[in-house]
Amino acid sequence: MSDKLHKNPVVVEHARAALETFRSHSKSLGYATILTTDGFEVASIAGDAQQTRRVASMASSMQALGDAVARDLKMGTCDYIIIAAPSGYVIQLRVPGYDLVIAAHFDSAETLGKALSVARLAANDMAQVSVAAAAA
Amino acid sequence: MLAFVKARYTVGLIGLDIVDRAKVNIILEKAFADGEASWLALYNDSCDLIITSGNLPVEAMDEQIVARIVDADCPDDGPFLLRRPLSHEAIVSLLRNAEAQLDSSAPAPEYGRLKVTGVTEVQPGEERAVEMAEAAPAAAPAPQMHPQFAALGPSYQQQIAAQQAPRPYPPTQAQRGVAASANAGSETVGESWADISIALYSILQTRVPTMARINLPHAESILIDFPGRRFQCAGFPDSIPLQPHQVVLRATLAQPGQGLPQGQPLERLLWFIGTRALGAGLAPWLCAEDRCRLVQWPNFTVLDHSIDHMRMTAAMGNGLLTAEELSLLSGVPFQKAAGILNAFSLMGLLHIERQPAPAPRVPAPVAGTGVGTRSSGSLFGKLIRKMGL
Amino acid sequence: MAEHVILFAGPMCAGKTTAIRSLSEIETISTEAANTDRETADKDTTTVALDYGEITIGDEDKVRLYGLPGQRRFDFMWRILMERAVGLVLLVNNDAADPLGQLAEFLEEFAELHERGGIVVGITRADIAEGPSLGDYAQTIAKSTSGAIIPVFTVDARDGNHMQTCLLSLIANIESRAALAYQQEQAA
Ligand SMILES: Nc1nc2c(ncn2[C@@H]2O[C@H](COP(=O)(O)OP(=O)(O)O)[C@@H](O)[C@H]2O)c(=O)[nH]1
Ligand SMILES: [Mg+2]
Repeated sequence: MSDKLHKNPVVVEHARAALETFRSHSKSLGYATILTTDGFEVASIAGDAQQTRRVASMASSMQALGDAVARDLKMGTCDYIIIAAPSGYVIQLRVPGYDLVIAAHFDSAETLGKALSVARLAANDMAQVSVAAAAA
Repeated sequence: MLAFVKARYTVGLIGLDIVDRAKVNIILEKAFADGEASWLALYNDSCDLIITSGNLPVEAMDEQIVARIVDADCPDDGPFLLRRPLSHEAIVSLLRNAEAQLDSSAPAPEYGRLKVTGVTEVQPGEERAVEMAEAAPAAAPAPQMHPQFAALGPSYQQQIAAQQAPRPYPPTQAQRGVAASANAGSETVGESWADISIALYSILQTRVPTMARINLPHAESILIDFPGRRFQCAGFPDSIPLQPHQVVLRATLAQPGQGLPQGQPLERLLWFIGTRALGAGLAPWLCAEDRCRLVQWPNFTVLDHSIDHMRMTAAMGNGLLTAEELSLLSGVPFQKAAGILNAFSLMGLLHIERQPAPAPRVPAPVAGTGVGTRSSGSLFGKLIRKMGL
Repeated sequence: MAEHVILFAGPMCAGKTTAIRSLSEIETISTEAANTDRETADKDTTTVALDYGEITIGDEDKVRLYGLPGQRRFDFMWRILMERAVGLVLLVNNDAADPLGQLAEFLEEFAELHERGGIVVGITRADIAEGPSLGDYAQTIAKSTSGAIIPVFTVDARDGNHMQTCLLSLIANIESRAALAYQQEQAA
């Protein structure tokens, strides 16, 4: 199932659609990327190609470091990671049931709570991709 | 690069500077490959023809021919003179003259003509040395003596003399000089590891594809496949006596398909001989004044090594040192420093600068300042204590 | 307390994660993710951030062992960890498609560490694949580092003794270089 998700056209198409919906839910969304947990970009909105690829790699490292900390403290796996900076946030979270992560950058106009809830919606949306079709 | 052509005669390159040696080597190799000559180049003085430089004193046997490389303006003349710049034609013609003379004289009774094939490899860097010298003859680097047998320093002579002191046997060694034993197809009988080590060293240096067997009384024999760089010996190393009363090395030319199908890495045997079997001092081909530097680390994961070995190796990788300096710097007995140099030279891991050497590139080492010799401060020292080594 | 950061780098599958496990005194911290790139390396998981292990010496020194992700897309992690490092254990698997090319590439990438500290090269998986000889690797190293003498060994990353040999020779070489530089300074 985890084989080459980023090259599976069904998964890529579904990811694009999920990100478009995501954008329509939040005006302050800067850019967003769906990536595999080992750091390959599946689909992105906004951002230039080089940047989104780089963000995909970094987000996968972040996610794994988050997991490592959570595991060490016996907290289970890491659900999401928030990076807050003066001019915005980055939120990243797992897509339930898949070796996928969604990473999104919001400007500071958004409240953290709102940002988190739309990001979670997008992750759930992505999780609707058919397993059978994705495996094809 | 090894050509499988029968060589009729051997030519020894003695005391040439690196540029001349490289040129002669390249020309010989080409002539050999083209079938113009049937000569095998070795680095010892027991060959049919010796090529040497200037008027370096070379002691030759009656049946040996000595050729000299001289500058273009040298007034001397003769069939065995080579003038710089060395040319292909001149060398081929020299070989022809030498062949004619050797063919006309009957072979010496105590040894037959060598039946060996192959030519020496050009050492990496030699071609470059030639290019450099030719590109800028005026600014050519100061010629360096080749380390192996190049300048026969006084201590080398002494050691050779010691080796040739009367012994109940072996005739070949006594008569022909130790280096003769290096030739493929020969047998060397000695009373200690040091006695056969020159033969081993010479086989390794000339890279003639050789198979060898070492027989020791009351011990397993050792089979060596030099081209495959493997050896076989049951119970190695515990089964090998360090002070046998006899060691016999029998070397033959490797035939295609004759290599050992399996075995241990040869470096393990050479390491053993160098560090443990050669006794207390430097190997016969090394001089106390030689300054040595490592050209490649030994593969320590397959060698039985100590922390002192590692310490010395690190020092050798970073400086040009004599055995004495190495021992001082690393805080180990001279014997141990000599042992590692013996092993490294057998293993082909040393660059040696023989006297007259350029001014030392490192300041004289201060005793015991090497890695981990001072108890505090060094992470190396702390780690080995921590690891219980 | 002094810290000594040693990095483990090299291509995917070279044995970096395994090597740190062989050396570390603490349970290692690893950041493995499901591997979706089976073409490059046929293994279930791959390191995406770092591996971490430690050796503590008394109450003074800590040797920190960081394993880097092998893939170039994670080179930002290389940069981050390189800043603090004093030495590098560069592992290359003998069964890689182009192990000599990989070696040259990584040496170039980590040239700064060679300048500043030291590098040791370990050739792994030589037991399962007939690759280039140690001499070939040594030549590649000499070419890439303008003639520097860097220790190079065949190693099995699963073997603690082999990895100790790597680590010790790295540190011996670093300290030997430093000692020599110091002596030359004193002499000048
Ligand atoms: N046979 C063999 N397997 C090895 C050796 N070194 C590492 N491995 C195995 O190679 C695989 C890849 O190692 P890993 O540590 O994940 O590589 P990494 O990608 O560099 O972190 C693991 O299954 C190791 O057990 C070796 O020298 N020989
Ligand atoms: Mg790994």
